[in-house]
Amino acid sequence: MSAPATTVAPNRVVQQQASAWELAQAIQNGQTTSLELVEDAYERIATMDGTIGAFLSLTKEKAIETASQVDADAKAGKPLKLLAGVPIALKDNMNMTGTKTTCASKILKGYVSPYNATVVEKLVANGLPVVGKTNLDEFAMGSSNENSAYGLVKNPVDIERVPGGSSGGSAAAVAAGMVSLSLGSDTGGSIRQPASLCGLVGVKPTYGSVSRFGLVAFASSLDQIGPFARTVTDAAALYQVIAGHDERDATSRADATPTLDIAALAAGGEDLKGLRVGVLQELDGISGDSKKALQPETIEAFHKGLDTLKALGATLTTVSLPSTQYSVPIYYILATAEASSNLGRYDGVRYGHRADAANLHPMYRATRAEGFGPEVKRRILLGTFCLSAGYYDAFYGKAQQARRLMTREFAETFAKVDVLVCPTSPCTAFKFGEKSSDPLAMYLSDIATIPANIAGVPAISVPCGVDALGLPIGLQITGPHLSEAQLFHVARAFEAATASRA
Amino acid sequence: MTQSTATIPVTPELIDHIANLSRLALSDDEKAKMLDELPRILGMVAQLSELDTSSITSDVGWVSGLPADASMPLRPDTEGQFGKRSILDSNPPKPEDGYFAVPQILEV
Repeated sequence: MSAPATTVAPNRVVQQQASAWELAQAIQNGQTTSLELVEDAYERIATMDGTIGAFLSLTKEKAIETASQVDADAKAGKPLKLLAGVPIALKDNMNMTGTKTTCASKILKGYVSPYNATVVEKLVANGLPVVGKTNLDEFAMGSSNENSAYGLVKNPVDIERVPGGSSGGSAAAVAAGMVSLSLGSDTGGSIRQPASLCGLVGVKPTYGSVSRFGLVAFASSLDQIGPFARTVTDAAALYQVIAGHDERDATSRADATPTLDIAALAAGGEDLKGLRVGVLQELDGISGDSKKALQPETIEAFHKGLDTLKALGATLTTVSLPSTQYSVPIYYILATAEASSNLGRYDGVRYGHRADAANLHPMYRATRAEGFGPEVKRRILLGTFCLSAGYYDAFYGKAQQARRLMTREFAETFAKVDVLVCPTSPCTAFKFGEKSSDPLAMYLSDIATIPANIAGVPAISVPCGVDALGLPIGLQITGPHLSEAQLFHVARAFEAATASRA
Repeated sequence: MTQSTATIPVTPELIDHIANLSRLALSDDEKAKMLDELPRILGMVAQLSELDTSSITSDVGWVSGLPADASMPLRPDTEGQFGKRSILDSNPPKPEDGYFAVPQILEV
């Protein structure tokens, strides 16, 4: 079932593993059990995670409970649900009853979740054992996982490099082969950029299609939970498990439940005849600015990817969305403004860290000073500034107008093309410390991923080659609201075509 | 009164003001760092003033990634149990008889 081992570079820490889809079938057919897979996962975590640092805590008791139920059902000959029995990892900004939820922040040290996030309920109801909770940039703010209060996560492809962020632990756990599935959250690229840097498939679903109930809020108008996997089929199956309307999330859409044909996706073999692909001019690697913004090998791999889409029967046109040139400024106003409000709840009163002080206000100030790390403080200060009297209109008001404009440009574009493509990340995995001293350089990591969050549309990153050092490059495919079925179809055809060429 | 984005004087007083609004105590080092970084970050976000948004005239109070025609039904407004009581009780840093104890609020 596993692929033959390839030449292993000295900095590479990867174990080959079967896909989640194959594992689920093996459980149903009695070739393996969920408990065996859970034990395997913990063995690999024990061997590898000392080096990688993907997990912040393990949830063994709960994983065994879920796995035992699946095995009992399988033994009784009951038909199992989608992905039942396949171990999964959870980003540590999602609540799971009785487990620690830290958001990789000192301010939540010792916090225990009193309830389950809706996605956790769905995973458990479908029989996916949650093996543990993964490291992240503090409160999901970052693009390298270097902002965690609990240590670095190393990229399994090259452990001297970052896995991307903010869902770095979820990406690394899957890339290393410790698990075949994980969940992350994506506010400006926090699933797709690490997926790109670790050679995985990562999905930012349509805003409102996956419930955020129980996800610790960062920027509520942008946050979405989504899957990491090694194959498009696995990512699609996991999306099918977690998506759907939830009355406990006020932004959850009534029409969010997908009806994907996972078996057909797994079978593959389809072409893309008749598909209209728009190539985003602002990131096409040809026009002046985009040529400077992208690593040359990324441009080369992207253009090869375009040839693959063409060979599959798609027609390519270049389309321009001028407002996307301003994605980074729009994002760093809106996301920080929302964060400054959302993070107001960490006041040392109801949970988490509390500093000693004789009076209430000094207690608030000292608690937050001691509990938050530098990037979180930076963003709270910037967001507070953007919302403050005298500056609100010029910053927050202007960014809201720009958001409307970009949303309109996306709607107009999707009247002309079915999907939009560009590279997911401007560069491949960088070394620790390379960008961490310059916040502006780090912020540019999300230049290609932010627009989908701003417009609320779904986007997927799928591997599309490697650079000279063997570091993965990702292709981002974006579609209109609730077009996930089409995105998975396109990504699957692309994946099959690139795998057969390699 | 709206300040133009291009001409914001980032002074120690401005940093103190934002830090106070944010309920964040900053060390002298952190203040010095913000004095250096904030002008550069604001310079980056101020590029947005170049973007012509004059065609957007409707009210833009709160905008999300949801299309205008998306249906988001609200749940019935009924009382319910939230979370596990024993865990909720164990989370506060200073629990006292089922309440959250806080430091003194008024100076006496």
